[in-house]
Amino acid sequence: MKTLPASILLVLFGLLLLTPTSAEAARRTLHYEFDEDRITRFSFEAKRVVTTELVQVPEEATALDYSQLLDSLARAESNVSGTLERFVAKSYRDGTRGVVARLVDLSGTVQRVAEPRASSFEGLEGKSVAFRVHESGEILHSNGWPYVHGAGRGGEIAEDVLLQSILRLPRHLPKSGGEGTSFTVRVPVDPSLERSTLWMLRYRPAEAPAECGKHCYAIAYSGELQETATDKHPARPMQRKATGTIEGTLILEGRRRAKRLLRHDWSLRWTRDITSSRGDGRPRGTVRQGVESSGSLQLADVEEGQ
Amino acid sequence: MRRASGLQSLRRVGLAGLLLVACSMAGEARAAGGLATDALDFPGEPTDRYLTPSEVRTVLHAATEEFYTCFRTKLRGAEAPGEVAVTFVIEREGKPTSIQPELGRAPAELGPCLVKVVEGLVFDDHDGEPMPVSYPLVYQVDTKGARVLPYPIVFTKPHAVRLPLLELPEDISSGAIRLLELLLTSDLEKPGDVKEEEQK
Repeated sequence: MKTLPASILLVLFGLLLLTPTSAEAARRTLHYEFDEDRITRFSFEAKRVVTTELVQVPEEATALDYSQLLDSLARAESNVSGTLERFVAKSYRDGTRGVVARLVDLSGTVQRVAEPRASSFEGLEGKSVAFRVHESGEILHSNGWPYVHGAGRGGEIAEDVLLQSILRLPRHLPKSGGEGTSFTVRVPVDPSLERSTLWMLRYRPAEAPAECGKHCYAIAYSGELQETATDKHPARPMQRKATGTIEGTLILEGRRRAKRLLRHDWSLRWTRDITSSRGDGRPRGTVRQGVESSGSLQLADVEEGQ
Repeated sequence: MRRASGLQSLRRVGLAGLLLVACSMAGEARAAGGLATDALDFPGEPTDRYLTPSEVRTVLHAATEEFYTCFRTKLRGAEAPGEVAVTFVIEREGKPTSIQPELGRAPAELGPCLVKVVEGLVFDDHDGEPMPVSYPLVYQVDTKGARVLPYPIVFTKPHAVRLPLLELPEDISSGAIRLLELLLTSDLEKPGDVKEEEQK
């Protein structure tokens, strides 16, 4: 029996050591550029209109006077602007980054039945979420959502801004035919609840603004979203099923594979059914919410030294 | 001679096999998530932006000897101090403020000493709301001598996430949220309310 020469064995071991991550990195020609040892600031604006209706009324509702509350929630419009500041807090051995994104200087308005009222969104001011991300924008883990989410914090508008700051990029700059991809984004709202959203996107080339320069690229995208979430907290047994559509445009700049995000505009629509259940699992009440959301992020500055 | 060569081949193949297993195990270990410190919320890591009661407790336990020094020097000859605690608020910069001693039957001189110990504590800066903390100090004298026992629990205000699957406007009142909870989940326990959070 003849053995393989040692050199061939070594090459084989070397190939085994290559991780799927590095293979993925080799095939990909488009990455985000994350600034190391710097704080990158994006100014943002976001608008959200949420309609709410009770489609299945629980039996217990007869004992409660809730009609005024539902009227006040029938249509709520929030507008918020502020700054998202982001820094790379950690670089992992596999090439992924630990990125902290924080919302600051928030201001805006909330309008329900009456005139718009100014709001400082103080429940969100200074709150951050940490992401472990590939340079492609693939989120492996995230942490900090319990401090953003929950009634009365306006967290979903913040979630849009935070997630859209690192939207998954296509593998390559798309050509005329476009490139499709699908991926799942998980948001661990708290230990009892993880929301999971399937994004099915198609990217296509778009026209970069003329003033942007030679190494500026625009990528348009559109697609569908599907969300399922089950709250396992014993005091909030609820389920949410949602479908949505999204479209947007990314403007990126850079000579090499790694490109800096200059601007991102997006708009999305959701239809959601939220059903609460009883102790024995039977449905109790169902709320239907429609969401129309739009926003934009624009690179404001990069501060040297952290 | 041929037999020796066959053994050598077998040894080589065996070695190669072992290396293959070792390589694949290393790959799996990496795929499984790596070091504990890789977790985004691992205490003290730069990605950990929120304080937990256990992180606060670690800092307080490290000061047990200093708390004991206060009791040893200020309690000399006095009766058993009863229930003593310190309450304070950890600001976003990690600095403790609004420090208040609860002295039970202990002499008043103990208070400033405990305040000084807490003033010297350094917590991690964080992005959450300022965190109110209450920490009991158990002074015990028995056959082993006198000491302050590191208390296993710190009491903090609970961080409740209410109705996270319903998107509600930022200006909604607490009463309106409660009404929705009653409407949708009323026969169940109200989330994260009333009771103080205890974390071991």
